[in-house]
Amino acid sequence: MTEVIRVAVSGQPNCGKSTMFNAITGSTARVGNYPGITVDRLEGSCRMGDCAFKLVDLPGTYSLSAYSMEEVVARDVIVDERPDVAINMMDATALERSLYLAVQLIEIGVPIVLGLNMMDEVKKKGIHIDTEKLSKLLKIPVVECVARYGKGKEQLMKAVKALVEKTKGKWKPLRISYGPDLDPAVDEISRMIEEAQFMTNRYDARWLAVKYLEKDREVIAAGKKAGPLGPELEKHVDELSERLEETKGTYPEAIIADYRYGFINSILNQGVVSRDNDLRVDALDKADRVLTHAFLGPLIMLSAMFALFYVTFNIGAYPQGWVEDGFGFLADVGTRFIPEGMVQSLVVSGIIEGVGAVLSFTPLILIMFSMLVFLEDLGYMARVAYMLDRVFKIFGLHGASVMPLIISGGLPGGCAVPGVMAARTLRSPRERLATIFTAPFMICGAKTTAYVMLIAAFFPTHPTVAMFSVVMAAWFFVLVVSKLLRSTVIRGPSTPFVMELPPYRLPTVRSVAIHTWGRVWQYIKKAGTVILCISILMWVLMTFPQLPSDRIQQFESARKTAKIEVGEQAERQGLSFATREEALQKRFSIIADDQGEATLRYSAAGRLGDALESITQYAGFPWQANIALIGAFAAKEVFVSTLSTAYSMGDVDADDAQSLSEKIAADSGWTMPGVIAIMVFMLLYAPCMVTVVVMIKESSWRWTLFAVFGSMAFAFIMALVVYQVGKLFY
Amino acid sequence: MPMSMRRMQRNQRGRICSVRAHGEIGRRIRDMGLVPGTEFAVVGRAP
Repeated sequence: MTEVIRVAVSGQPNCGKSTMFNAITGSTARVGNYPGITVDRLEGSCRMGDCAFKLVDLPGTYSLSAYSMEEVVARDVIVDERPDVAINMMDATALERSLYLAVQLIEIGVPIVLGLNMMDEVKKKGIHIDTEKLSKLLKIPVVECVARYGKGKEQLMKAVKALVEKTKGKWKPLRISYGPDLDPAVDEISRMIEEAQFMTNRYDARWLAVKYLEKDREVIAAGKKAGPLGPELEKHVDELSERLEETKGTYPEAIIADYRYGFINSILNQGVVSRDNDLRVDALDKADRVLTHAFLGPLIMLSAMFALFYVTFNIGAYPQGWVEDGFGFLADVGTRFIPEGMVQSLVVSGIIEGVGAVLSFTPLILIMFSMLVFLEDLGYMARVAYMLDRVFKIFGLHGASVMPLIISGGLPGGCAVPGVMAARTLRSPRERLATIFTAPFMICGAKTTAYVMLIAAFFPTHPTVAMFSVVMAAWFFVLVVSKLLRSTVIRGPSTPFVMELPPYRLPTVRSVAIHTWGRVWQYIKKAGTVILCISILMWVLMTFPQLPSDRIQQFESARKTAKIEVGEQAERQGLSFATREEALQKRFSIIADDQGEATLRYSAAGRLGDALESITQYAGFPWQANIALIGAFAAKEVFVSTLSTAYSMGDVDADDAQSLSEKIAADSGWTMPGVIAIMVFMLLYAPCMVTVVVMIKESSWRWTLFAVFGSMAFAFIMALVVYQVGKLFY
Repeated sequence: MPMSMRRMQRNQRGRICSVRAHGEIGRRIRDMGLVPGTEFAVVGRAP
């Protein structure tokens, strides 16, 4: 008979928990979701003989307090889902700190197996750990592992199986003494809880008592709902805390933490660990001295970022070209095989163009993300956050804001979708909201297409300088707006930057590939779904209502007239057939442009653009830009494709984008101050639709609406100012 | 001679006497292992 053993895998950040999880579950791992919470749930399975295991990877947390969503999730999985066994992975090079989480799990009572990971580094550092002794003292099975190489995974699962057979589903919470000040209170409170059977269906009474003393937010909130004993216990604890503060100058939570560490050390000091030198110092720590040097650090950082930029765009251009060619081919096929008319237009101009433009960015995104992921796994991004924290704090952001901002396009070509998701790492809501609000200002890949096109049109002589200025402007606005937000709407002290700088570690190809693919897949999904729908919608808005037949007639007669006139001219001047055809084609092309423009102007989208022009003229936007900007709300790539449709052209291809640029440059509706105003507007106005969806998930409806309308208003004001000021100079 | 860690310079070592911070920051500091009695060295200050 096969039994399914349910295992939860826990561990502190950077301990190799996920590496071991992947080693055990292999390709069966899938990412899921905890309902209502933005924490990923990773599940997988494995078999050993006739035994099947189902594993859940808990979020990495340093402890099981109630201060962060990850900790609450990890705790709730253990308490509510009651796995048969928990595996706690530990960084064996930091045994004392690692045991802090382990001890809290043992206090809950779940049967647990400890995985001592990074044993290879332990040996390298000359540290000696008596694993057997540790296991005996804790009364818990301990397995030595090197997760990078998959070492220890069979032993872990064997230990899990043995533990299940031994404990048979019984949970035995560990009881630690918390000293003479607290032990009586713990006993008293657990007695009160036992008598009233207060939440004892979910938790162990003594564990609850300790949590109340720690002023655990989750437990207190649950207690309020569970009965009158809840508030009574709170009062009891408050009185005790006040007394302690007066007499000893400390408070229960601190005492409890101290005693937990005392318990840990009492075990470690019994000959479990012996080491050469006390403090952890690596050869690589010396590298940090250079990399975070006051002067060299930022210099190295900027060069690294610039290198990223350079590689992405120069190497990425090749595969990007291939994807574009691929779509160009599809477009040709479409034009050839689908009879001319609505369907062909929809499929070719609407779908293939729209989706193609977006997907052509995938290679760029792939390259850039893989490099960023590499730097992150290496541990370098943590140093970047550390260096930038002080500067960012001035603007109300946090060192950890740097990743979301760079991913969103701090260097052109990112995407705000994974960027906003990356803001989850920010623990304080204030900095997180500020980061989420400003991340869309960054120059994502979509905006880059628009800027490249506009720069080619209006700044053809200094493209690099122009692009660089746009990047600088983006960062400028992010910092300034963030400061504005943090001084007004989301006021409050900044979160202190307390983070463990992970040791430098050479990332494995596999881990980089998995992380990168995760992010790129989000981007592709966006293209396949939202942009497809929007492309179709935009096409509809730009095609209907169609020009009424009398207007079409006017263009037909214009063509007839052109034919006659050119014919007469050819006869008079004795022109060759070729020259005559050429002249005729020129006339036709002008008529076609006019007709195209009229058709567009007549459509729903065109009328909207016209209607808005009464307002936007003060910022110098021509009506075609209005349509493009509306479309770009759905997905910023649409800006260029809409404009190219508006100017009656087919493809948007690197070459054709040039010609689009030429056409726009020639159109007098676009003035230099107006162009700059449009560039400013595009930088700042509402995030694209997909980003909005993600923002709602990561923050709230209210904040997202505020971000959308607030940034739109701000963008317009800026554009207006820029235009009016610009007019004075031009 | 007790002083605030913030005032320490690079390469200075010390031993923690007390952690006065309350709430989350206190928790974070303790979770990292910085509890009374722990010895530490300052290896850098952000530029």
